Amino acid sequence: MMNSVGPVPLSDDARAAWHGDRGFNLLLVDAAGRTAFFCKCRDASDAAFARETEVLERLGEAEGARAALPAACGISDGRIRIQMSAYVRGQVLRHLIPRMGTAEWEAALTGVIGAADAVSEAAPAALVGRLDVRATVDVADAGATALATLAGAGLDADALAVLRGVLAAAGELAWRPQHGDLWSSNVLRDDGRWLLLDFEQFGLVGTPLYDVAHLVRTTAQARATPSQAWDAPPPLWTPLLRGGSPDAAVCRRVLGTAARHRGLGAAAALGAVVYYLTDYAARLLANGAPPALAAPPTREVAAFADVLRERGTADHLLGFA
Amino acid sequence: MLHRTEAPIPLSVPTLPFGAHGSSNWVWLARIGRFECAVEVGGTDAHAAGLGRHFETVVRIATLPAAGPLPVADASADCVAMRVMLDAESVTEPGLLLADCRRVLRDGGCLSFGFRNGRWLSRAGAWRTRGHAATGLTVSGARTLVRRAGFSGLDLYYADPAFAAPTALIEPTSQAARALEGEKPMRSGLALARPFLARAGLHAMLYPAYLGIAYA
Repeated sequence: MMNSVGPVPLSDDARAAWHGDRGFNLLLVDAAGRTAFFCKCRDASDAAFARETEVLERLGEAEGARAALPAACGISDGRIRIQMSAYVRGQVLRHLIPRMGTAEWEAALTGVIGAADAVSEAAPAALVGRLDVRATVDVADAGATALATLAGAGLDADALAVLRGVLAAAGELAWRPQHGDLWSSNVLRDDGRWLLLDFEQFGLVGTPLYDVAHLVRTTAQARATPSQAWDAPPPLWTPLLRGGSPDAAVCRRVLGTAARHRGLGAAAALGAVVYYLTDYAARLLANGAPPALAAPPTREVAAFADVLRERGTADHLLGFA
Repeated sequence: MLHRTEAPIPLSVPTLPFGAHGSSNWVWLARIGRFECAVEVGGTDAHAAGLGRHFETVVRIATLPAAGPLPVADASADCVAMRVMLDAESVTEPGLLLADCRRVLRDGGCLSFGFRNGRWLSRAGAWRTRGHAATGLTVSGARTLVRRAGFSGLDLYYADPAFAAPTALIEPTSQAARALEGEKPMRSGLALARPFLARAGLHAMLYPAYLGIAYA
């Protein structure tokens, strides 16, 4: 038993707890001492966990997606729900990043994005009835709730106005189901392939570039964090992106390539990235994340808004200038 | 349903350590079949609340009686959760305490308890002087005490990082230690050595305490 941070079954006061502090995990070790299965165990009433389990089971049956996921199945007895996955003896991307050279990191980003794209393409057919499939997403409309949350958290009116304008200029973008939490701790490298983990947010976001931006931002921040300070708050991404370092160039190149591959021009790509930054920050605030987790993304939004106010554009940050 | 036999704990309690809310999850490892009544000894409100999600009734004993038996009827409980470590200085007769817990339990019930790991690679001397008996319990000593108290079986787990709020409970084997250490995030300093110690079979040095589940 590990990661035992929340009670199962949930107590009434724990139901409102930050979802990262729920339940426990099990590692099942076979007679030969090899870890065979990884099990997530949560309260049976945890609807988000039940959805994640079903998403994994159904994506695992889809030919285009199964190579990017560990095989998984779920079971529940009304008190506890267990999501059982074949244990993958790989390495978490977060642990690999500090040792990667710039070119290797860029290749990793491209590989992971390719795996995520394969899952996104297979998802609409595999998850009939489970995804809110649509043709397009109005970024300004979709981002309104996040901006309201950030306003309540103290983001100043000028910053909000600039961000609102960027979202409006992006217009309607082609809908594409996103993983929703594609950061380096949710990616495994196993024998040359990339596996994606933790599908709790899958398909809840349909704005393109969300996963790309999250992956690029979090891996760039991990690379900029000294190894001895691995548990310190990450540095802001926006200043990194503005810089002239090789890592900054990789960020801009990967973002720009992904945007063009998805048929997005500069305004649409900027709107998609602003949607990601504001939605991610607002989601942590709304879900009751601890301040140590919620504060840095909120500061990131403010920093990005400052660039927009200062330069009037952020094309240079996204590989479009 | 929660019954208190001592004065209620004040509403303003110190912040619980990380993992305290999951401290009742050990129940999923217990091999018992009835969940009518549990006795919580020495734990916090969070401990009792967690236990209350598994058992219909929880009898809360906030502190160990200075003398005499637990104020619980014979063969009335399916579980005793002893939050006071067996080798704490306040426990002068661990064998008698275990026997009293056995008295309270119905056949088929279980007792959960903890004791420090004397082999834990810690700052020398610090553990020994912080409210624990100088000699402490060994694994074989704990097994003997449990057997003499009338229990029929004992499962032992390393409790990591602490008995009070364990976020991991693993069998005290090299395979389990290697599996757990392989899942931990990036480390710094001396913690970098943990996976190597686990692979080298020196897992007994890694964890500060044991959690035992003894079966009636």
